Amino acid sequence: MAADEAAWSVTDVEAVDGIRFAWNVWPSSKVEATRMVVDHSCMYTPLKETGCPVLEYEPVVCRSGECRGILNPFCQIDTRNKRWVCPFCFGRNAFPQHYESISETSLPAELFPSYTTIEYTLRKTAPVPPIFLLVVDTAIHPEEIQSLKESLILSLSLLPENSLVGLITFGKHVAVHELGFGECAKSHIFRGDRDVSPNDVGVALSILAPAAPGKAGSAGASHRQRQILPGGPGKFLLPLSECDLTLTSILEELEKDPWPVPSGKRAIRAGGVALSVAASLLEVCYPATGARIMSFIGGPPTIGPGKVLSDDLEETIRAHHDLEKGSVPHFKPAVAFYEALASRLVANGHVLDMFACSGNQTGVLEVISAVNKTGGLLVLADSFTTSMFRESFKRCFARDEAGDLKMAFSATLEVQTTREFKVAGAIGPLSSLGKKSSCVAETSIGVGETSAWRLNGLIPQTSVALYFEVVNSGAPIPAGQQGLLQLTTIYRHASGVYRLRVTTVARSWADPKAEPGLIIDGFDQEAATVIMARKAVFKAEAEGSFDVIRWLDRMLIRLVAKFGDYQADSPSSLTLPPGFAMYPQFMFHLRRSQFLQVFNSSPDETAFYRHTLYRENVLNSLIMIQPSLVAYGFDAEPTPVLLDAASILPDRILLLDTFFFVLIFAGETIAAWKKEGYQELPEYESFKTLLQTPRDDALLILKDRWPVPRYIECDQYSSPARILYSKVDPSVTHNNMGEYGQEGGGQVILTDDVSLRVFMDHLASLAVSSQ
Amino acid sequence: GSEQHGGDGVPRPVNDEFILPPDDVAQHPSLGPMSSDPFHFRPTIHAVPATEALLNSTGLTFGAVLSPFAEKPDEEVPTVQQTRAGIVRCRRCRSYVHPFVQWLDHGRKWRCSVCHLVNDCPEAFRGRVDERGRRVDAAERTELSCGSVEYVAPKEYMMRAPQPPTYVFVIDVSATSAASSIPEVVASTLSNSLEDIYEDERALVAFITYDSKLHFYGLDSAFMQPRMMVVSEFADGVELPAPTPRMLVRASEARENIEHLLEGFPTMFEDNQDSGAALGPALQAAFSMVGHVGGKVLVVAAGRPSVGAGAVKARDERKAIGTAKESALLTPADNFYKLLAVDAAPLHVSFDLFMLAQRPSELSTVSSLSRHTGGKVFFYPNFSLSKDGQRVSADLSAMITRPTGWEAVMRIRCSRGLKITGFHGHYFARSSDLLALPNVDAASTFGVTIAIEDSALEGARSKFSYATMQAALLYTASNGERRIRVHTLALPIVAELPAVYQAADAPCMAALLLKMATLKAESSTIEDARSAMLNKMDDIVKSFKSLSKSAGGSGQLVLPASLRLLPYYTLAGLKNRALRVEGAGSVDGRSFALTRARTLPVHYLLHTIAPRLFRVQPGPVNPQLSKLPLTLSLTAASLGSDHVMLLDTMSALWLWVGRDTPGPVIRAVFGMDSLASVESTQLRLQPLDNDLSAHVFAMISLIRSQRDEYMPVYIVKQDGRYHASFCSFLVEDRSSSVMAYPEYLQALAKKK
Amino acid sequence: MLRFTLIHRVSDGNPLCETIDEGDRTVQKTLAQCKTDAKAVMAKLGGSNSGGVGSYSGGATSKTSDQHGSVDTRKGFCFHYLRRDDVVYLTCADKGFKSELALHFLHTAADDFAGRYPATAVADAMRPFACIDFEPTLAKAQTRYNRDAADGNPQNQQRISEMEAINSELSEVSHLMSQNIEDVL
Ligand SMILES: [Zn+2]
Ligand SMILES: [Zn+2]
Repeated sequence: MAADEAAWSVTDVEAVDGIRFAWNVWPSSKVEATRMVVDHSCMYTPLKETGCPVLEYEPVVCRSGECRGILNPFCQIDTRNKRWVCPFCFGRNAFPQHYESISETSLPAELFPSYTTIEYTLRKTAPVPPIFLLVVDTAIHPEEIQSLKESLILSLSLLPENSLVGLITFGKHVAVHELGFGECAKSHIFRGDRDVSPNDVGVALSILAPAAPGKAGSAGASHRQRQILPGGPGKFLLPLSECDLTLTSILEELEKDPWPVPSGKRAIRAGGVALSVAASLLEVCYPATGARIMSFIGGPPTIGPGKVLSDDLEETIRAHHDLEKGSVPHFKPAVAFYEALASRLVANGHVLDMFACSGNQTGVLEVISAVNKTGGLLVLADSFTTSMFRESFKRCFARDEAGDLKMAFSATLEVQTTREFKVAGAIGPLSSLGKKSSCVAETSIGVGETSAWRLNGLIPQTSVALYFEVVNSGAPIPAGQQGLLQLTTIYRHASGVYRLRVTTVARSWADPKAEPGLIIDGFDQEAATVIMARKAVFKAEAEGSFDVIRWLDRMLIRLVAKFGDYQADSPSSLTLPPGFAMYPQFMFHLRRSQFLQVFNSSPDETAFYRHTLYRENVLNSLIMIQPSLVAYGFDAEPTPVLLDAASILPDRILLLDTFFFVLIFAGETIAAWKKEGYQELPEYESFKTLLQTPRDDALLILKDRWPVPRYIECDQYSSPARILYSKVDPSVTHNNMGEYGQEGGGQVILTDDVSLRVFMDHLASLAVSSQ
Repeated sequence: GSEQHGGDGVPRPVNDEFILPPDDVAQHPSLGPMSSDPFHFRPTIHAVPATEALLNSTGLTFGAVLSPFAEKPDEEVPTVQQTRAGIVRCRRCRSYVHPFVQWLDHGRKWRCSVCHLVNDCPEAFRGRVDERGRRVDAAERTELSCGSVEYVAPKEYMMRAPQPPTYVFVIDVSATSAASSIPEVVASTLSNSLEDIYEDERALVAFITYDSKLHFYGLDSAFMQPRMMVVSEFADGVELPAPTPRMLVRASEARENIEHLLEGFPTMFEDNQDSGAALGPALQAAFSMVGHVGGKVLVVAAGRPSVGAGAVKARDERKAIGTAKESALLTPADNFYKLLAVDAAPLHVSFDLFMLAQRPSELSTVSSLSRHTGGKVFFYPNFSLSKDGQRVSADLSAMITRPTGWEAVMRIRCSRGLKITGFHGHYFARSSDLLALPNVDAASTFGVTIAIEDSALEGARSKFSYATMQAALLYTASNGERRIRVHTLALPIVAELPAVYQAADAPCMAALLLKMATLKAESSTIEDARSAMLNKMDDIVKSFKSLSKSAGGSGQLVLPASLRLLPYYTLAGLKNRALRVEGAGSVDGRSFALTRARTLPVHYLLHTIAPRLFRVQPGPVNPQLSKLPLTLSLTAASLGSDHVMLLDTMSALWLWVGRDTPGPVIRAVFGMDSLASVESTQLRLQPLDNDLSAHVFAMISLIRSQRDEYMPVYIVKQDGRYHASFCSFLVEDRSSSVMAYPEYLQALAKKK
Repeated sequence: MLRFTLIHRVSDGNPLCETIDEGDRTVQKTLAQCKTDAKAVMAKLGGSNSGGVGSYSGGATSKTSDQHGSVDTRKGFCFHYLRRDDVVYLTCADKGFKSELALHFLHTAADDFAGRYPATAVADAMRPFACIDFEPTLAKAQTRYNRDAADGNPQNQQRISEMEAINSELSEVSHLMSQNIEDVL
């Protein structure tokens, strides 16, 4: 199959099943699988909008032992005896009563070959509507407050009317607002300098009955054993329809934290305690329910547990080199605090979203585990006045065609495999459910030692990387026998029902030694890149970026050495199969990317980039790794060009999309004409169009993407242009400019980074080396 | 005269509203009316015995009772028009020039009557002196003609800019309080009585409510509505939830929010289930809110503090009441309140306490805060809205609307030979003669005990024939003016016994003795306090007997005219709830009665221990009553079974109805034929359209007009539940521990 | 931020008005000392011409006898003063507080004060703090200027420009003279 054809069908499959494998033909032996360098793995998007049918009934599940395999098109059916064979455990199951009339010609939908992905509606319904608890930082500039409150008030009209809402504001203290109080604006205050247990929060808010006096030990009783006072939760988390007016008026009156900030100091901000109190409120009132804490943060916590920075302006927030040196006194305690918070949220099915809007860092790095593990959303912007924030926030509440919110809650993803392989782990916005089924591999990659994970919060784009281990060792697999992978996602739909989506995919086995061609043809280099990228970032978090780049390089060399065609020690003889041709280039850009080259970003930005990588699908992730570059000129249609310094020419406009930035770069000549104002003159209509077209294209991206990327327009040689320079292959540098003799062709990039050409040369020589 | 006699020739007080000493006693002819009026500053003897021995030989107690901020009706204390010389004071002892200084050197110098220093008279203040050494222009100079004057103080008398009138209301809104509708009472009272405060541009107001948590209120006028902030973390100190200016606001600007808050009070707490009382933390919070400016904290509590700092368990009092053990319960169980007072008073913060309790509330513990900050205490046992609502409202209202002196201090200077040995009342002692009074009003009253130092007094006598006591009260008025009110008492020094006896002021002495007894009741035992009073009376009788060498044979008690009522007051004092053996029903009740004794001015105190008993006349009545009838003896014999009686106990009016009261009378007063089937607590006195009813109401309003405090009307039937309580006011009758008045007189007569 | 403001009569140093303490415990002690120093500085400003305290005299402005300036207390605070007619206004601000804003505050306060208490009322005032009723207005203005400064309100720029205009009218030297407190006292 030609590489193009393979790519075509890969995206077709993705459209139907929401899945892309690194290898579409699976290696049949354990040993050979390890030699393939790239793991047997896939990217799965559980809530991809595939248009698959939603059945009104519950699925038919295998009852054999511990197996939970679901009836799927790949099952053997005995219509006469009304039985089916589970392909995972080979157990025979009887069809339930109402499947009596099943026949060759009358099959239930779940057995249709085209419905490899299908959804069921479970009987279990959500007892409580979705809960949105807003946590708002008020230690911010009045202009920020104004913009933020406008967005929050707007969001009230975007939330479902029956959803429960609550409000917590904080500055020096943390205030939990009693929305159900009619006489005046009432809030309960907590000190910002110390943590408070869920129990104490419950008692302070009169949700839990206080400990009976004199009962020794009762003070230590967990809040779950305490009695919930009737009407208690309803004072703080109310249906939007009941508290709309109260909440709106409180938001309208929101003002900057009134405590004066002495000169030489920064605002006292109890961010850690605010989140802890929010988690406690939900824990006490609605444990094990889908709820989101949507936090709006304008600066770093400077007091109490989770503090990232002191209030002394002399102290600056940690940069990467501080973290590297280890000279960061607040870091470890803060991380530990937020990890503990993460565990609580994860266990209760709650989600932490964060909108961190500030010109400086706010401590996203410390809190990121709580966002990632709960499947929360993260938006980084300079200010609440930007459209990056306003639009991104608004779009969180996007609705589907039926009018329900697209976001889902309380999801669990479970994996079932046929015996030949097992699941080694997953990387994404998830946490382990600790399910030790027979599908669990011995090795662990990412979040391993389980075949099921929790995703408290889920949106249609959310994609999970799954890593497998082939366990079949020796015995050849009968021809025609396929490996089967079943992914079951149970989630709480925004409409209140619980749904189950099951995706069952089958792939052929091949022996990489005997039939390498089959294996090679089944390689999806794009999926593989993204899967590798997630693994690399996971390793980097654990081990540090530098070592990971070396590891990536080693892996690439081995891959090229294994799958390339060459003569030993002859670099020039090296060719790669068509399906692998882009892979080294992807790797080149990956190792240069913001995920692994952190020193150009702040720690918060790095955390944000990595968080987004962990959530996005293959297409978007690839843009992050290798940004797209489109050239606009007088003579031609907008054309995609190489991400190469040579593409930077003075008489063209470039549109760079890094997923996080959308940059419109005007070449020197264009910039000069712009300055002269030619676009205003009627005879230069085409110039005006030239300037406008990339803007229109950029707008399309901004309208569609979540979160809304940063939009920058700049000219050649201006300061923001460095973003473009840092991304392109520095094929033209001060080192090699003379070599190419390209005068007026391409931007000279001042860097010591290697160019792609040099990289490829080194790669080739190392791959073919017989040492 | 101050006496009347029942048919039995036994002396009793007349129903004099103010129980002032007779003019000839109070005003020494040589000194004229220029000495301070007894209304403000009243000695127990209107003369100073020349030696200690002379005093001791009489057994009398020398001292004074003063109410420095009291205003006599229709008589304001005059303000001095200062000359360029400003306030004229002695260079050495700093006492203020007064009508009785000696003028020397043709008016160029004056001798201080306190320390005897000869001062230069400032040029602007000079005036001619007549042959008798008196200033010719005295009538034109207020400070030389009036015993009580007021100065406007220059900036040297100010530690800081004048503080604005500042009020913090701390209100118990726990389940107990809500069940008795206390938030409602407070809210409606404040809604009405804050009017003056709203008019004052500078006045500051804050509210704190509490149950087991503290509730603060952001009332800044920038807010559209009040913001209630609940704080439950105060285990290691209270942290205010917002900057102080948000909560302590200008009343005039924040009026809308304050009114909004008060309107909501009744409903906000009506269903409160929280029965805790974090009173201690609430007080700490109030203090931290106003510590930088000073002010009045008015506390309305519904029970004892049970949560947080200062929480006290109710001490079991059932077995202690009426025994020697009761005294221990009269001392604070926790010195949290005193310690808070020690911090608060120097910063000009006082606490007034309203205890509306239905159960024992550790009043003795909590009231120590008021005691040591110069605040007032109000106690309503078995509080119920119907019974006490109006009284609470009136008392609370009075505390807000009464003219107040802020950030005040008072110093009392006595001339050589007199030494102050102690104070009684509510104040914070800065030194032996300087009292800090964060807030002072007309009711603020202090007892002073004074000793005579022979050698000094003798030396003084060589220069002056009289002794001087001067009380100077420095305070800030609500309008920001710093003022000094000076009361100067000049008392002739007398060397003869008759003169000493003649100048004795029995009512004042009785009041001071009672105040001294309250101290003994707490520091020692109630029994000791009673003994002290009885022994004092014995001493006086015995002393007079031996000094007058009268024949003891007649069997009649012989006492100088001035002291003839002293046994009456002694007996009445012993039967009062403060000192009587059986107590006041609860330790709180006794504690409160002792507080009253300690802080009431002479006439109020004496009315409290010896109420006035009137008969509501049958027969021709005058609906336009302008004068009360004569009082009757406080004895059961005064109660005829067909009488209707009115008893004025100072804090309430009791309308007693005899069982044989004629039907028409019942109908006229109560509007019903018979009271037989009605519980007296259900009866309400309403004005009815007839002369007798009008007469009754006229009597009631006349009595009420004589009082600062609101007096409710209780109705008692002769055979009803409260008849016994009523009878406990009949001080002339025998009680379980004290003899009847005539018997007592006879017993005294027999003393040797 | 502005910490406290004093208004005294020049001729005899009689205090006319003063803002009440804000209750900030962290600076209470230092501010108390500053207050004493402030009163001493104001006393020095009394008399026909300020002995020892330099300032700019009025030129062709409507407030012909206006004199204003700044004094560094060396304790982390700065005094800014304005003398107009028989009244001297002094405000104590954190060192970082822009002096133009502090002086603008004083000029505005002086205008309000004069509106409420004409010269005759000031001259007649016998008792100390005779104009204490002005305190709420003064305190409110102080709070407003503090809030605007903290929030970066555009008003600030306008005020600074106005102050600069006044300064240029007062003297050829365009920056405000500031002295140290040791030179003054
Ligand atoms: Zn099975
Ligand atoms: Zn003297």
